[in-house]
Amino acid sequence: MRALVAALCSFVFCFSVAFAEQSEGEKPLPKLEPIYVGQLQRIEVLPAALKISTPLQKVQCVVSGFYSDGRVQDLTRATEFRPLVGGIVMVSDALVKPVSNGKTEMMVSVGGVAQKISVEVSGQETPEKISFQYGTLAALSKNGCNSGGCHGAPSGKGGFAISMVAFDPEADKISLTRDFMNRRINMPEPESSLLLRKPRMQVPHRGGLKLRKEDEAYQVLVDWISQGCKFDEADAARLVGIRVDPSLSRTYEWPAHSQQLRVTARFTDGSERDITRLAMYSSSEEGLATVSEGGLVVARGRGQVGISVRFLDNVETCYLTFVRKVEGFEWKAPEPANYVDVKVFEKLRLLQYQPSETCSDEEFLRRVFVDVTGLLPKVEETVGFLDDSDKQKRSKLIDRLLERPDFARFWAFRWGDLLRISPTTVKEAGTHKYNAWIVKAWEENLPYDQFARQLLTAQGSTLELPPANFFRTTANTSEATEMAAQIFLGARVQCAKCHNHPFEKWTQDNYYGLGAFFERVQRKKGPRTDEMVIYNARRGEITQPRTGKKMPPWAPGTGEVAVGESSDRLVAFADWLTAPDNPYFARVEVNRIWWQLMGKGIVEPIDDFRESNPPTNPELLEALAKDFVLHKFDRKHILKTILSSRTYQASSRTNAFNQEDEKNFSHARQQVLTAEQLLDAVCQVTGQPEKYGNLPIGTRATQLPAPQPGNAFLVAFGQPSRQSSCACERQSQPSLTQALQLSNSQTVESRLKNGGGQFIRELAAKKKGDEEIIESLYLAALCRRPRAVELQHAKTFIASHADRSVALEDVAWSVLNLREFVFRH
Amino acid sequence: MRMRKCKIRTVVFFQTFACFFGSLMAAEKTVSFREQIAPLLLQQCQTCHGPSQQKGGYRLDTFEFLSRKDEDGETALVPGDPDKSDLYKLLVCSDSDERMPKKADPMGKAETELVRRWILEGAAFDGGDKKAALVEIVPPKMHSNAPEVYALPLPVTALAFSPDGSELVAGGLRELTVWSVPDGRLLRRITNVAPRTFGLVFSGDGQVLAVASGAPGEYGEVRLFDYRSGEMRAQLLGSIDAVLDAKISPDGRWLVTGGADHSVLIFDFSTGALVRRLAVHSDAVTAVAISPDSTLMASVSLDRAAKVFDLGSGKLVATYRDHQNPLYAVAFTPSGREVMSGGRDKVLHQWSIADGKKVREMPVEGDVLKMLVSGEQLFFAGSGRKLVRANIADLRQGSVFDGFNDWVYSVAIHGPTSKVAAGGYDGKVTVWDVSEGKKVGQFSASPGWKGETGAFSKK
Repeated sequence: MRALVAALCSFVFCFSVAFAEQSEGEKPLPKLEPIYVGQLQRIEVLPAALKISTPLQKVQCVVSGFYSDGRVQDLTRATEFRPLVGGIVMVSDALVKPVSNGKTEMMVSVGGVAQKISVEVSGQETPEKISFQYGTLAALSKNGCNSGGCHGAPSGKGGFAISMVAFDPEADKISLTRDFMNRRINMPEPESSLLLRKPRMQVPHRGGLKLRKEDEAYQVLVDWISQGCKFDEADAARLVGIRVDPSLSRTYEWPAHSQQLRVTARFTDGSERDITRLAMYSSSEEGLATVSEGGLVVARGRGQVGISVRFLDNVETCYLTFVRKVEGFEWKAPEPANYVDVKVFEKLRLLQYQPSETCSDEEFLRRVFVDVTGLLPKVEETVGFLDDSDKQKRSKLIDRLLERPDFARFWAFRWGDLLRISPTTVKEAGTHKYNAWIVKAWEENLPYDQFARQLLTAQGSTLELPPANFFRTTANTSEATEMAAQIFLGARVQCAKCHNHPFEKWTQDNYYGLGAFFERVQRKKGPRTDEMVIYNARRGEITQPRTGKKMPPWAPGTGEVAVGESSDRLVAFADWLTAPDNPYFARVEVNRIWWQLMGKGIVEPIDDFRESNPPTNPELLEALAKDFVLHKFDRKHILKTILSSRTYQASSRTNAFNQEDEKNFSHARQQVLTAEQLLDAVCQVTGQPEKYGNLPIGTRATQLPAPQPGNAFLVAFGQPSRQSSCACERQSQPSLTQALQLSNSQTVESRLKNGGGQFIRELAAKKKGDEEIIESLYLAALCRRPRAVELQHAKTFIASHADRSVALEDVAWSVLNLREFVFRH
Repeated sequence: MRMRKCKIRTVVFFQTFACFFGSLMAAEKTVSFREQIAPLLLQQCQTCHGPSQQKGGYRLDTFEFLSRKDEDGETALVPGDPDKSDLYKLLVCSDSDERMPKKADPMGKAETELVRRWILEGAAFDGGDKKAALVEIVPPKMHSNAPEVYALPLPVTALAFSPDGSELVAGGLRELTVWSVPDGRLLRRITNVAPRTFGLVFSGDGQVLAVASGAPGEYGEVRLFDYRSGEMRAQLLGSIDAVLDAKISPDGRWLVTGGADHSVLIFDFSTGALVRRLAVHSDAVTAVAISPDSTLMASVSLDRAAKVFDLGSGKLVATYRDHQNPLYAVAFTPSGREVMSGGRDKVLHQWSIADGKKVREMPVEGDVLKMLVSGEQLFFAGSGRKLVRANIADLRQGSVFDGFNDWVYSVAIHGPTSKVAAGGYDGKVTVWDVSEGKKVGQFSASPGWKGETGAFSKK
């Protein structure tokens, strides 16, 4: 019979269609199109002068063209390089190699514009000593030998283990040369070394062909071996940093679609060296632009991409934006409500996406209610809002919602996920105390800096001082470090515990340096049941396990932080963290709020801030963070700013010019309500609350102090068990169980049948007509009145049915199974 | 195996080729599987289609496997018809995703043509036992000569005193070098040796020198040389990775080896026949030892296990499980009741064969890479850059012989003249007089190399 209803409502929530994730096939390699040089204003050649002083040094030239209309593009591929005197350097593909000592000039010409640069080659008579660190290990890194999936894995591969991206050169020295009876190196005949024969597949290599004779890395390795596998002298120049050119973020307008990068390493002795071909490259979004082994970036789509350049433990990222004119595109957008819209629209306009129009009152009402309070509006609230003719009604509603107790409880609940509040971590009593403290913080709109400070510095009994539970949920320094970093710095530092972060600047030293702030935190049992006392020991240092060094407190972007011997390191950390100019604190929180309201972070995932994972709209993130600091970390202010924007209030319906956009916020996101929101909605529409453990009846799922075990509905829809501070713990993957829970579970069924369906019964008892009941149902579940056709279908169905109440149940069931009900849109 | 769809770009060419040069080819010697095809398959195919993995469910490490029908009745080898044989077709496939060897440059034309001809000529098998591993049926390699002068030192990974103690034999590059003791004059060079030698042991009569050697990652060999003439007498076996150690039993009956291919092999030394293959380790077997009464053998491996076997039956007698790290060295105590083992653990273990339990241990500095027993004394050396003598009965440390600049890989003892020698990463051999406790000589065992490699700083 239900099938009959389902057939009637052809738009019933259908998992197979709505949820099927499109599987991404292999992306075709981007096509490299010719460069259209056009009428140049001027060109810029990098380097401005060529100076080569050793035989193995090669220099990548990069030529940029500037145009009168402000455009810029990379012309390197289209440029001709002609040394005026032959035999000094050789140039191919803009790569300059020394031939013999001498001085000359090189004519660099493209599109009718020419520029001369000086060329000076020296030192060719002296063989160049290969640096172990910056030659050998860099070459092994470049070829992926020491990547995490190959020999850089903790136990290596095929018996050969080296450190991931060469973070432990001392261990690598042994592995390469002395280990396993000198198996891998043949000093008298370098090219016969297993280290080279394997990756060249002269000896079978499970990793496949990884090295060719023509590769720069091959020559480096051969030379290093033929020089006797020497290691760097203790006083050898060390790497200071790397520079990537172009150094400024650039925007390219189609047909410009590529950029040759140039990477230079700087050393302690002041020398510089071109490492373009030894650096490693990765794109923040392969779908948008790819980068070759030689540092050539080629775009395939529109948008901003971050290209990370890594050389050993140095990582720099450059940002490139690619735009192209879209045929028929004409900028059209609602009037910006505030700076959020200004920043979002600037980006959309640049990328030629057209924002969706502002959503209807019905959509806005439902959206803002579930986002701000976690709950659906009551029928009378809906009717009141829809029928209100006040032009300011949206803004007034936002103000009212932010003052509701439901708001504070819902946002405290969401922080409960982050802070991992559960009976396992803080005991039953702790869940209530800790949760109540957070609810109060939201109610009083406790400034975020004070909120964070109280969590980080609270010392004493967890029963008397609930924020002291912050450290209670962590068992040791590592957990405390990782949790603080994930929540407040938006950084996943776990991997740096054992080795340098494979994609980011975080080194193992950094991990333990940050850990030094938390090393003295002590956790001991209090006298009362479930009580824990958190306090800070007077001394205690953290040791970097690999080097055995004691690490002083260290903070990212700042370096070592001087903390007086008798000072509290947690206070020092909180001082550093909440300083107005802290580069992480405000950004991470505004991004989290943005993500909670918009369904997608400006940085995504929200706890993975790193240079190689850039924000999709840096200006927007910057503006929000600045505003947040300016308003003394007032979170409600940020919430209100975002909620009031046209961007938040955009329709989820796309237009022809934004349907491909998934991350520039040109339209609202449709997403399944969270487990708790959905269950609350079911309870609210049917008028049948759920009972959670010993908690009073009427407690909302979106306001639980901790997840209640054994609720199959919540589990099916991805309720996290709060074991991790990662937002990713909340599963949003669709599943068959979810479909079954909605269509055929005790949770839903019991609310409709046998004394359930209270909502409909009440109305029916009040002798309301079918039309009125159906309208109330739609208003309660979908925050809108039914369309004529929907009303007609439902009425016909009820009329054809002998038992009116059963027919009404069926109609209610079909509404609860509508995609429109299950989704936030 | 299902036949793959693969277009052969070159088929027309080859037909033309065959037509034009048919008579010429007929005049040529037919292709030998053992001499020409098997070495090729070993080098190019065996990693993915061999004993350790069988990609696509196919293996070709024996002729039987290579020509076997799969469950669909398909075979990769159709004698007389290369174009129906995947064994050939996939080598010359124009689609690089299908072509073998995968993820590698294609095989040379000369090689693929050999395979084609062999199949066309009927794919005859001339290797004796169809079930024997290819590596064991291919003819011994002829190794090219050693470099006259070494451009850089070669670490000394094997060392042995001649029976009279007047000469030292060191493993060189594709050779063994013979030096006078203690002044280190180069006396002779024994050639036709695999690139690296890891174990050297003389027969009881001192006439035969057994050499455990190989090219790491490629192949291994055990060869017997006539010491005086330097002629190779026999190759006992070829294997798929370097052979890392060899020992001959005091009674002259057995020769045992351990290899990087994880295997322990027991040979009858008088006939050279392989008696037993013990597949008991899951990683390279780095050292073997034989008990003084010639009844037991011990093996240690990078898999952290030390085991004792009965030589006659091959039965496992004891396993010692107390090691935390890979092992490199093993020896029996003079009583033959205990075994000593060492490696990356910071201690040297002495344990009882009867119950596999530790008897005593001795702390050591660095990794133990080699140990030898002489009378009641144990000598061991390794990354600690010194040679240490210990009293076996109580494992108390005795004299320490230093003067090494780098890791020590090899140790040799000559009891009658009370000399001990050790060779290391820097290519040098140092000779000590044990009774007097002094260094009596040091020389570079890399012919022509006189320079210094520079000390490897201790961490």
